[in-house]
Amino acid sequence: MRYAFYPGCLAQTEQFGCMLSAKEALGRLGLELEEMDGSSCCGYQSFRLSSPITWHFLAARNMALAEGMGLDVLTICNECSLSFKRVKKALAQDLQLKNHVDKALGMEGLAYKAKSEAYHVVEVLHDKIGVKSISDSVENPLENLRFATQPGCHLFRPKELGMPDEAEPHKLDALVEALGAEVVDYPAKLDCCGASMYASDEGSTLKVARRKLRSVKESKLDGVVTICPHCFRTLDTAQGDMRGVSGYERLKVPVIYYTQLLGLAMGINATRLGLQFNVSPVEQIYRL
Amino acid sequence: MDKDNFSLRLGCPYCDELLPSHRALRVHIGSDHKEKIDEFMEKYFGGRWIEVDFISLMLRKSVGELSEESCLECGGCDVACPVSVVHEGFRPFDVPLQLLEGKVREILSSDVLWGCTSCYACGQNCNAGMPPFDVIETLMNLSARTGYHYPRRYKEYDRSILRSGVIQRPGAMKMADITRLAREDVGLPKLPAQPDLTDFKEAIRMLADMRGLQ
Repeated sequence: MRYAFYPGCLAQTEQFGCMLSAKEALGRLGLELEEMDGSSCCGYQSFRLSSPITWHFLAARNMALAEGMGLDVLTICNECSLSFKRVKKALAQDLQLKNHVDKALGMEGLAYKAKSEAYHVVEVLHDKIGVKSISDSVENPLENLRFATQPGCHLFRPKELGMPDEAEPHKLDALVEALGAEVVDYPAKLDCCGASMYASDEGSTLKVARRKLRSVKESKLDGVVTICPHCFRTLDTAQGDMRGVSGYERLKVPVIYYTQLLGLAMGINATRLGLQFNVSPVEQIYRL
Repeated sequence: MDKDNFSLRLGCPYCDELLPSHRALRVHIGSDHKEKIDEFMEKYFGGRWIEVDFISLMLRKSVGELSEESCLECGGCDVACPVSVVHEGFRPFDVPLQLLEGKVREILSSDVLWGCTSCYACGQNCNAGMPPFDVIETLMNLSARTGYHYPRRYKEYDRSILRSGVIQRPGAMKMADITRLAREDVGLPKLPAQPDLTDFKEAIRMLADMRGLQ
């Protein structure tokens, strides 16, 4: 299976663990990920708010690049996935908007024909590769580990848009269980991690994320598995900052990105999966 | 807004009558307040940019869909909202309700809108089928575009996209310029090639400057 690989800004420029592990582990499963030269931000975290037309242009331009390569897009970011889905729908419904976007795309010699699909990595892993094949690829089953999962809002909301997972998300759980670990429900599972407000109100983001991590901690689980770089940043990287906001002790909940966990189960070296970039005490998981 | 007293504090902004309860407000919702919003948009922008026309269109659509039945005041959105527990003053239902009263300017000048995380939980938990999220997003657009409020970090993100195609922390960009270290040298994945920035910027500028609907 070949895809145009669209990691999104955060994985490319900041959350290197997501990017390194996705390339490493997905490559082992036989996925061919082609670099998208000339790609740009999908616009969701920026121009969506200041200039919706430019947002539609940015997302359409990345889709157009993938069309040029004759491939569907595979993204590892929930927000990029939502961005592509929303823009695709809007451009199909609003011809006037599409005309403006087409005109701007024309200036770069691009054209958007709505031919390529954008898939979230969970869709590809669960629906196309299948839980069985992932189970077969496991060399070190992650037995005796109990995880909380954080599917991330934009994996399953808003359901009207046809999201990668159903309203009661179960695909990430199935993918974690395929590695031999146990998945346990916890009260705040479907709650937002607060990431989208990071740019405008960091303090509130940290408070929202902290509530979530507390819920995991109180459920006495071994860690959180997430599949979105934005959730990963707020839960993992910002964990040290939370103390400043709340004044409490550090929570020290290990947070791991799904492809990192997949790589560990496949027996890939921790450094190749970028685990040295995780800020939370993730070594508690893989040194067991 | 104080949740317990919110029905008492609503007053009609366009007539002198004080409204004792939200039941009475419903009488005032309707034709002329929607016109107030049209007036606001016309006065400030009068169809100057396609961008504003587009936002205006979306706003009119949201307002057109809002009616006295739009909010059942069940509090479903508030219960689901991850922000309203930690952010004093953020209540998802507030925004559509204030918009119905015609208080566009008040909403735009407060920074409450920017607390929304776009998680859509309010929409999935709305018993009236009128998700506050759509209205909030359109008003964020309007607030940014009219210069009322646009958080500093988002401005940096926009600038970073114009400079490099992707969102990068300003510090990281500066470091890359100074050290000239290739990312692969320190074990990081190689980035795909940048867009042709001249054409890319030109296209974005064209979208931002287009005047009038063609």
